[in-house]
Amino acid sequence: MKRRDFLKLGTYSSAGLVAGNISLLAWTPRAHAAHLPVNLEIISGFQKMIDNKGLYMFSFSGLSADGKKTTEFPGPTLICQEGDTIDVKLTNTLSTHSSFMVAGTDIAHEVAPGGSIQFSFAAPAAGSYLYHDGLNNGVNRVMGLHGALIVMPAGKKNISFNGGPDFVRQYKWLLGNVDPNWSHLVNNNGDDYVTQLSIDQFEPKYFTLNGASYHDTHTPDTELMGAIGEAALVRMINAGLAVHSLHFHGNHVEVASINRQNFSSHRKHKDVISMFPEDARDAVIPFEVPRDIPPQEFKLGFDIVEHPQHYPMHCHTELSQTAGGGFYPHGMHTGIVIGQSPETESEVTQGMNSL
Amino acid sequence: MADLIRKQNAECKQGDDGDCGLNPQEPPTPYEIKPDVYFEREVVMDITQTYLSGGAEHDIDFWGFIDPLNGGHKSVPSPAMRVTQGQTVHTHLDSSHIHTIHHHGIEPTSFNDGVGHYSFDVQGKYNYQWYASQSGTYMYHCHTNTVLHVEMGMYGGLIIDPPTGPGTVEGAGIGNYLPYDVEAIWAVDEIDSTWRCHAEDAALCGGDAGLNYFDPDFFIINGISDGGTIIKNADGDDETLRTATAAAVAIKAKVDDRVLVRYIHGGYFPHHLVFPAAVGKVWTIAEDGRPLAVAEEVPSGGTIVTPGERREFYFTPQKPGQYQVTIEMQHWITRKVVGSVSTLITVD
Repeated sequence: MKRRDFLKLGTYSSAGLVAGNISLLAWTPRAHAAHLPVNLEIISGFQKMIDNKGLYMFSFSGLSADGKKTTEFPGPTLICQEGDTIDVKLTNTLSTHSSFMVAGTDIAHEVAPGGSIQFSFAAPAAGSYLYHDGLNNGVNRVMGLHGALIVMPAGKKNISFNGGPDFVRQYKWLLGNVDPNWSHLVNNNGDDYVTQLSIDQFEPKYFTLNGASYHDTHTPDTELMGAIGEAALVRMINAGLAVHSLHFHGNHVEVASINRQNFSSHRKHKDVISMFPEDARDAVIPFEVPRDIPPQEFKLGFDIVEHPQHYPMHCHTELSQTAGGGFYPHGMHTGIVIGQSPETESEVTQGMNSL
Repeated sequence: MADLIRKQNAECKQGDDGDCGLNPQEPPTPYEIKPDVYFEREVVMDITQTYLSGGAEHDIDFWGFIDPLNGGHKSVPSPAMRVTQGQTVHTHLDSSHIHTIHHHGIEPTSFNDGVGHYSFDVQGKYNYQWYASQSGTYMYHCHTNTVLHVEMGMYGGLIIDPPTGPGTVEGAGIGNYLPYDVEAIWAVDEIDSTWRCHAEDAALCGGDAGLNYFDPDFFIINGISDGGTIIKNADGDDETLRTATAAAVAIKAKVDDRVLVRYIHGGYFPHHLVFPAAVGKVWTIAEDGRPLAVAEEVPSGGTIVTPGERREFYFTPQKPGQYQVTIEMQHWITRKVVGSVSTLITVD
C-alpha cells in the first residue's frame, strides 16, 4: 500500500521542528556511554518545492515512542557521543528495497519492501556523517532518504574533536538535489522504478539546504547567526549527486575536518568549500567583524551591533541557485547574520544543550 | 555552426522575465571616505568574440565591465583590479541596466557587498567602498541574476598585493612573503553558447529558462580557447589568440625563475588541473585570498578546483623545455570530462 502523505516540512514547519522534537537522540555531554533508541520509518509522500510544486519523494521519518512522526525530510538528525550505542528499529513502507548506511563506515543494513529490522551500531569516531539509503548508486538517497549523524567527542560541547577549534554553537547543512522528472517516474511507475534510474539522466531542478530552498532557508536551523566572537561550527554534508561549491560572504571559515580527517593545526581559511557527493566537511565561521570594512567607517559611526550585517551563503555552482530552471536565487542559499545572536538556537545546538 | 548556434538561440526558453526580487537603486555610499584607489566600471552588453573550432567560426556574445578611465576596451574577462594591502578602495559602477559588483572574497559591509537580495541592485551609479585587508587572489563579478550574468562574462580578476608590493606574494606561511619573477593570472571558465539568447532578467519571476542545465561547448582561460579566439584588441583591430601562445595566458620563464600562477575559477563545473611532472614540484601556497600556513605539493594526478575558488601555485622550473598544463572540465553530476583547455609553460 502506497503512502500519499503530504510531507509538510522545510520552511513551513521549521519553527515546530526546532521547538518540538529536537532530534531522536537527546544528547548532552556526559561521562557515561548510553544506549540510544532510534525508531525510523521509510516512507514516501509529496514534498513541496519552493515554487509550490509537490513532488513525490522518499524520506526517513522519525517516530517517537508513541508512534508519532517527529521529523521527515531530510531524516531526523541523530546526535550522540563517542562510546554510545545506537539501537535502530527500521521499517520500510516502500515497495522497493531500502537500506540504512553510514557513509565512510561499514554500517550498512538492508530492509526488504514492507519489512522491518532491528540492529545496533557503536557510534563511530567523533565527526559529521551522512546516513542514507545507499542503494541504486545514490538514487534512493537523492529521492530523499538521507539525514545527518553527528558524533560529539565524549563529554565535550565546544569542540568537534580533541584539538579542534572552539565554537559556541553548531549548525548542520544537508545539501540536496531534486529532479522532478525522477519524482514523476517513480510516482507513476512504482517505488521499485528507482532501480531503473541512472545518474546519467539526473537533471536536478531544485537545490536545498536542510530540505528547503532560499528564501525558506532563513530559519534557526539553517541561517547562521552570531554576535561578534560567537564562533559556530557548520557541518556541511552533501546528500545530493552534484558537486557543490559553498561560498561564504562576510567571513572566511576555518576548515576543521574533511570526511573525519581532522585538522589540529595549519587549518585553511576558505571562502569556498568544495562539496563532492557524500562529503562531510566541518568548518568554523568566526563571526568576526568583516575584515574589509574600512577602519574609517567605524570612526564615522558604523556600529555592527546596532546594525547586524546580513550576507548570503550560496553555492557558486550557480546552476544550483535556480528552482524549476530559473527563479534565481531560490536554490542552495541561506543567510549569514553577523553581529547578533539568534533568538532560537539551531536544532543541533539545542540537541547539544538539552537535558 | 554559427548558424546552428543562432538557431538554438531562436528556441531559447526565457521563463518568466521581469524584475522580481530586484531592488534597483543608486544611493550615496554610507560613511563615504576619500579612497586610496578609485576604479570605474561601466557595464557593456555587446561584446562578441569569435571562437575557432572544427574549421568554423563561432560568434559568442558576452556582457562585461569596461574601464572608462583606461580606454574603455571591451574584453573577456573584464579588466582586472589591482591594489595593495591596506588601501581603501572605491569601485564606481555605472550601469543603465540593473547590475551589481560583488568583490568575491572581500568582506565589506553588506551595503557594499553587491548582493541585491541583501542590499540593493544598481541602476545608475554607485561607489562600492571596501578595504583591502589581506593580500591575495580574488575576483569581482555581477551578483544580479548571477547564474546568467557570470556565465555571460561579467567577472574580472581582483589582486591585492602584499605591503611588500607586486613581485611578492604572501604564502606558504602566515606573514611569509615570497618573491616571484613571473606571474600568470588565469581566469578559467566554460561557455555554453546556447545561453547567449537570454534576456538579463530571464526567469527572475519563475518559469523555466533551463538555467539549471549547462552544456558548455567552449573552454577558456582569460577568454581565450585552445583552438583560437578572434578578439578586438585595444587598438580595435582583430587579433587571433591561442592559449598556447597568448601573452596573457602562456608562461615564459627561465630556469630558476620563481613562477606564480593565480588560478580563478570563473565557471560552474569542477576543473581538474594537472601540471606536468617534468616542470618539477608545484606548490599551493595560498587559497581563497588567504596564505596557507604550510605549502602543499600539488599531487602528480592534479587537483580539483571548484567554482568560485582561487588558488595560488608556485614553482621553480629546473629544466628548459615546453610543458603543457591541462585543465579538464568535469560534468558537475556525472564527472565525465566535457571539455578541456590547456596552455604552455616555456622554460628557456
